[in-house]
Amino acid sequence: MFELSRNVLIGQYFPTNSAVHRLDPRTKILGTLFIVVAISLSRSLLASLLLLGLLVLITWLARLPFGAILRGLRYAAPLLAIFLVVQLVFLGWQPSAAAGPVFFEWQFIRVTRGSLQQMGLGIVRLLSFYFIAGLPTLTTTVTQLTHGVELLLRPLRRVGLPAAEIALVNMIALRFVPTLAEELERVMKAQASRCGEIGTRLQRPDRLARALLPLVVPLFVNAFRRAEELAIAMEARCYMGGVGRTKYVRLQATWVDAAVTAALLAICAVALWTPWPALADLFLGR
Amino acid sequence: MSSQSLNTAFNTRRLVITGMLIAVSIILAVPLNAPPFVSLGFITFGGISFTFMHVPAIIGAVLEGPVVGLIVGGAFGLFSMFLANQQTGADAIFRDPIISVLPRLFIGPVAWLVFNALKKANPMAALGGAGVAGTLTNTLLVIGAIAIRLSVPFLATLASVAVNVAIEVVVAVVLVIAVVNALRNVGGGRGGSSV
Repeated sequence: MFELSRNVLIGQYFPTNSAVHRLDPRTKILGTLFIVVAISLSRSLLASLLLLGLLVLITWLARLPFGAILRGLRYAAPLLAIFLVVQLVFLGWQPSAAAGPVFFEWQFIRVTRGSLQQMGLGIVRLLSFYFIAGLPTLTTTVTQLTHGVELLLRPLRRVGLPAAEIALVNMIALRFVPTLAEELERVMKAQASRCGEIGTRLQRPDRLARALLPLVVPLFVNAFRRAEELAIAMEARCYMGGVGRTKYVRLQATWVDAAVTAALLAICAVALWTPWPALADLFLGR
Repeated sequence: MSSQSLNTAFNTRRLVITGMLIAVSIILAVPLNAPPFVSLGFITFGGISFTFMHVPAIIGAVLEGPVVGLIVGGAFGLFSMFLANQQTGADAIFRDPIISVLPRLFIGPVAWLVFNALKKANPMAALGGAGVAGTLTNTLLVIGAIAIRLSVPFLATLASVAVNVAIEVVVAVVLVIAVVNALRNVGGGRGGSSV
């Protein structure tokens, strides 16, 4: 019932040794950044579809299981469906979506081109984020990501940014998401098996609060216990901060990495700055 | 112990705890499949929704100082900016970093100031005070940022979320006191557990 650790993809690694896995981590970090910015800023449905297509292509190239990536969507689907229907019915009345012809109007229901456009954009964005959230860690080990972040931030050390420390904090956060999810899952199962009110649908706020405390407190306590242990282990191995540390792993970027980074940047730029026609115009005419 | 570069304000322990608290924030935000909760950090019932995503920042500030609180709060802000991209409705305004990230930076430092001011008088009240201060900092600054960016009246917006704020304050106070006390009892890994 509570399959937390299977649903939380962030921080998990899925080794397939594909071309995407073998790319330099810096390429993947930069690529992710470009795509996230492009999806966030894009206002056009066609451009968003193009970016979603790009993400599906990358996922396919990386030979990642689509089912696992979209599994989270299955649980969110009923809620999303309700949300979308409500939006479809009422969004047409808002000034932001009033643009364009009215397709359908009956009593309080009103569907305009603007509202359809916004809804479509919302769905495409949601799907895109399901893909992009997992991609970097599914295709790159946390160690590699750490080296990548550190090297990318290194130029900013001149202005006093502690690149190695930022990379380390990042790595710990990513690395321990699956571990903490697993522990939370165990606590949930323990609670449920002792008649804790998890797994039952309840709506009374006081009981909800009572179900919450025994989950969240152990989550924090576990996190802190692990942090103490990790800090002691690091100090025992003479960790003294990033400056002056040498590395066992040396990243070697090839021309492929440069080409991929440039291609992703170009695609994102095209997606953002091309005046795409509205999808409705293509199908329905003006 | 460490003689070189690491500025003493930020030793290994603090780095690690910062990372852990960010991991906790991520767990709180991730949608999960456990019926009463959509995700642990965002709770909805009967049309009211509230969050305690800011609690890790308060706890970090109280236990490890304002810098940890600032970074954890900033990570929470970045996360909510990232998540806002999935939304099309009213929550989409959080795509603006001035609304989503900037206000969250202050949660930790304010909570730390209040905690330190009250610590001598009554440690328990200080924890509660930090919870109240951190939550109100979050709410007031976010609403202030929304008021400025979208030029909507501040007080009207505040009134529309008054119930949520009240619940959030209570939940934050309870959580901060419960978590910090539980951690003190465990004794940070040294000594025996008394739980």
